[in-house]
Amino acid sequence: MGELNKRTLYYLFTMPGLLLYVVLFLGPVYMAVYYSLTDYDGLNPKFAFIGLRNYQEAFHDVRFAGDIGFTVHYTVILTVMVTLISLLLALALNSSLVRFRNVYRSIYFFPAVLGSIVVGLIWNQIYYGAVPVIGKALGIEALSTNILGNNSLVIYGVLFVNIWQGISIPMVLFFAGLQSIPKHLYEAATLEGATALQKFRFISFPFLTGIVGIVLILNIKAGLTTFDYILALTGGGPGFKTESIGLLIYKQGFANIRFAYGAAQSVLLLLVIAIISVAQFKYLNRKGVDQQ
Amino acid sequence: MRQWLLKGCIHLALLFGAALIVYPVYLVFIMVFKTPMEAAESYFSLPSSLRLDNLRTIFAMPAIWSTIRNSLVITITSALLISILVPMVAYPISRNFNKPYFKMLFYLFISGMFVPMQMLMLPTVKMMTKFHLTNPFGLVLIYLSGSLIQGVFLCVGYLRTVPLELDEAAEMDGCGVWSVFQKVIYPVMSPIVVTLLIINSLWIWNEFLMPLILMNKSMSYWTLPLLQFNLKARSDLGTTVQFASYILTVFPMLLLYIFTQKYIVGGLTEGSIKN
Repeated sequence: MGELNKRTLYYLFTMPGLLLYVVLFLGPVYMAVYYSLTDYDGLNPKFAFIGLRNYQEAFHDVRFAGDIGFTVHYTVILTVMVTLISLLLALALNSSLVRFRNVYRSIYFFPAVLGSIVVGLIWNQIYYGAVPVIGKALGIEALSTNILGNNSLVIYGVLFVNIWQGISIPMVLFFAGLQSIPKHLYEAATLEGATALQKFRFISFPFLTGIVGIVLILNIKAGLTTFDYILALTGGGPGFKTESIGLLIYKQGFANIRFAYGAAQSVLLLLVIAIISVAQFKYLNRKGVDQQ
Repeated sequence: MRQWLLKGCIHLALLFGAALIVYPVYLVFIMVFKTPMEAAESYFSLPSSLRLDNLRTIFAMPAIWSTIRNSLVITITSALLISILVPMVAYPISRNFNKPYFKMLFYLFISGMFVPMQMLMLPTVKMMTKFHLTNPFGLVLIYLSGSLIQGVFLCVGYLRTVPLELDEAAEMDGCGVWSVFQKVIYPVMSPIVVTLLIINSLWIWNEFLMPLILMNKSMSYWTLPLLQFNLKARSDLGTTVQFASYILTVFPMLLLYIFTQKYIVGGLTEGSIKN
């Protein structure tokens, strides 16, 4: 068996995957960029190149601006809350004060195996039928009507569901990070008279920065592209109050017959995600080197 | 004293959080057995008996069996093909990382991480309509192409820890590239293949956007998430029947989770940490 033969076979091995990826993944990416420069509506086979006009329109579009505002607001709260809650949960489950840690961990992780659409639909029902009853019984004004119909609270209704399901994986990641810290570091710190907070700040936290980075990037992307929960819970309403960019792009193609414009908006979304991700990778890599 | 107070607070918070997760799931389970009357009266009370009417209504729907079959066939076929396709691509990349073609291939695959689903959405529909692939077969192809992004990353990372001497020893024994892969490398990769199977089965089983945009028009192609979503608009069926459709995925997932928790937790966390 010759060297040449071996190299050919290596190339052949990559072919099925490469072919599928180029046609079905990179193909649509290319098409989105291509059509974003046209006035294609999705139906009419005749269309013209209009340069960057879709992008110009996007920058002056009040609805798009509103959706960006909502999506950014949503992403910031989602990212902060998921990171904080899952970190606190992991710390609690890692503490020797707590019994039944495995039971808690199993319960908190369970939502991760459910689909986001079924979770959204279940909470849609609960917000409608169960939460108002509890709200009234406890005398909490805000919860006594369906929160999804409330202009100022609906975003928190959707966020709660996303967080409900979103903390499970980060929690386990943080937990694994905490378990990997050598015990003797804490023992030494205790001998030196360090407080619990100091131990967290100077021992636990440096071990967790890498995981914090991963959790942040996962949630930023999830927030910026949020779609399933919104479709299942509100459909973007009331009005356009919870219309995310992800939902808007969907509507541009399937309801507004503005394929090209939706494509331009999706290219903008890609750019934002790529810039944030690359910036964060750079930042984390620098941190990583500092640590070693 | 302070220690005791802290302990109490932590326990209270943990219990409250656990209740927030368990209670909605419990509500789903009791709703399934209620009559519409009982459901309207109270969300919280137990059903007067274990009535199966709602489940019967669901299983009498014309599309139900094809829906369940589609979900199973699409998930199993995709996951099995992924567990062969992805290692096959990853193996030569990991063994030739010093060569430009393979290095470029690696970065081409992982750069897909930046691409939001919404960008693919509209062009994919156009393309698949043109190819006459707005059906389960087309959907499987899309999942295969999407699985490469994370899959190649995971597998190449794993294969870097597998020493080259293993390949060389097998080649000395007269194995060609294919038999080295099939008889030596693939078995060594089994832990990461299990991870691939877990991540991708869960993803595909639960995935909603692609079936929605490709196959919502033909009921015989529906998957379970699509059926559940479409029942949202069927107010004539009533809340309790909608809950019966939720149980179709919540109950099997709960069982699966109870029996394979260790693997699922491990697989999902490993998958996300290297994303």
